[in-house]
Amino acid sequence: MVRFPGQTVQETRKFEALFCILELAHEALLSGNLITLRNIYYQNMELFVSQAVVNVMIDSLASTLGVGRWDLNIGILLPSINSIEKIDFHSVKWVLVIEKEATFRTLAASQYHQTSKAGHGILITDANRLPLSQGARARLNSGSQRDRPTKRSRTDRGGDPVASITNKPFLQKAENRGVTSLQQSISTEYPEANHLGHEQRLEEELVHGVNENAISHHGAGDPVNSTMTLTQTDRKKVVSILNEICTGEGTVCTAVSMEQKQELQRMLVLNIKAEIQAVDHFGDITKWLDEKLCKW
Amino acid sequence: MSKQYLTTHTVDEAHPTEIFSVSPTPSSLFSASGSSALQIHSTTKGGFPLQQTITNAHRLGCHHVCTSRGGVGNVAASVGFGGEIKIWARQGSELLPQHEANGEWELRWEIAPTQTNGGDVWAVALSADESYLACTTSDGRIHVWDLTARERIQSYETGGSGTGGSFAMAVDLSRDGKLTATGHESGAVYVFNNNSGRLAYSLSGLAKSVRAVAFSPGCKRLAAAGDAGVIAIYDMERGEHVSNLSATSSRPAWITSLDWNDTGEYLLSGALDGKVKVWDVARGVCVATHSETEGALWSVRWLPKNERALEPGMGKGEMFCAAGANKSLTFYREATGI
Repeated sequence: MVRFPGQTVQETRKFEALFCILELAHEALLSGNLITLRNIYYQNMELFVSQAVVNVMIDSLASTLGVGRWDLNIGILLPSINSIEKIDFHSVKWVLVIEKEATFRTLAASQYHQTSKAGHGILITDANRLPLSQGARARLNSGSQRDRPTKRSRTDRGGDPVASITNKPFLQKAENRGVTSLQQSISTEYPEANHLGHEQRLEEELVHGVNENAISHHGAGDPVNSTMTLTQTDRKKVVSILNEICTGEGTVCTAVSMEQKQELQRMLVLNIKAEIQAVDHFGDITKWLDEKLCKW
Repeated sequence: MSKQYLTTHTVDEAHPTEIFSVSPTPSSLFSASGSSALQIHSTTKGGFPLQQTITNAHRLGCHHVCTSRGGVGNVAASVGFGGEIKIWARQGSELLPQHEANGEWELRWEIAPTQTNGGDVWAVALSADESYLACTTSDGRIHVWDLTARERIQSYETGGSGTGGSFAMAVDLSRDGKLTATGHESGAVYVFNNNSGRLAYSLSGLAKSVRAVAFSPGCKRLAAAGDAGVIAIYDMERGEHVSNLSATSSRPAWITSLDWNDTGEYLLSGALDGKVKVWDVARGVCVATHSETEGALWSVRWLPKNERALEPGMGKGEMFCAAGANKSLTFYREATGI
């Protein structure tokens, strides 16, 4: 129940939250864009306190108005698989999976998926941190063998990952597995995704760029804050990823795992790791991305 | 006076991935890379032909390979990224240990990663008599193994009581067998007395990670270098920092590798900017610089002077080899009076 004026601080806040949602929905309806539950939550995390509060409030708002959530142009990032017949990927030139949330937000805020020189694309941040349902996440990140090392390598390279961006071939993986209708529709609607040549090059380029930058900066004697020495735990993790890659070798993607293996070895020898900031330009990574994405 | 060195030969793509370490015997050169195989090239025959490939030596790749400085060249040791140490010996060398055997290299012993109590094994060094092996670990420990008895005879700790110290990135044994030196990520350089089993000197002077340490052939000096980009020279009789060798450049690259020539007059250094330099230690100046590659150099070594007749075209001048990210072995020879 929402009352105005509220009798307690609690009620006032509730009212404010509801108003905020209405305003966002209004905005979404006027612009024709979909706003996600998560996005609403992030508009004012302090106000909403938790995602669950947002979800409940929107559901009761919708039922009060006698409409569905979709009628308010409020949705979730990935709707239930059953409700999708097909997805049109024709304008999509690239898919970028970004692990580091801050980087994802920066790119999303600058509308990089629309403004990239490489054409329209899709930005996805690490599903582990997204409010995707388990099922959707599992399908998106369908654990094909080729994915596991990358994924781990991204999450395991010492807390804040060294390589936070990868041009992950999840579409291809979906196709490989061919388990659900969504995947099938993706792979058939977007056959270009099956060109695997570029799948992980970006990540390699990134790690490489980081390494190279670390070298040139450090080599040049410039103290760069974005690199630091590996801890013992880091080193053990890197070795275990290396082990995993070498164990899986000889199966599907030897060229890719070769590259990763070399970068990991180099990392152990140099004994440094770097933040993604090592390749950006005063905080702006779009230039670097444009350059890399356009190459393909 | 500067010295002239010429590129005498390059073995292109000696390994499929970058070469992290090279180490010579009197007649050959071991090289180790990110791939699982070790390569052994002849250094007495024209064209430096491949002599032997040891396949599947280290499944995760190999970051260090060492032979003894000043030894006959019957033993080599290599360390894989998995932390295992493998000791290689020449067939027949058990019977004639003082002579250089002619047979193929074969595995003699493997020290599993579990045998070093915790920290992962990193750098290794062999004693001049080829019977002791020193290895460092990522938690700053140094272990010495007796290769004949196949047992660990000494362990040095650099951290406080049992806590482990700073990552020991480099190690060397003096040719007289008396001292062990280590270089650490913290910038520390420690010298241990092998007879007493105690720390002899704790040397300062390099504030950044030390990636290479090397005793002079006469054991009077120790050279150390790393991310500071300068080479520190220490006196081993008193444990004093006596001089620095540094490039005129204000922004020196990280130094990854150091080696003294047989006379102890010249030091060879390799750096991340791809430059290999020869230093006149007494005068404290760089007398030659070569940059065949822009990629990182991981390892540079003088080739021991060889008394045996070299094949025609191999020349008599002192030679060295540099290797790194470009996967090639580049051999240089001193230009003599031509």
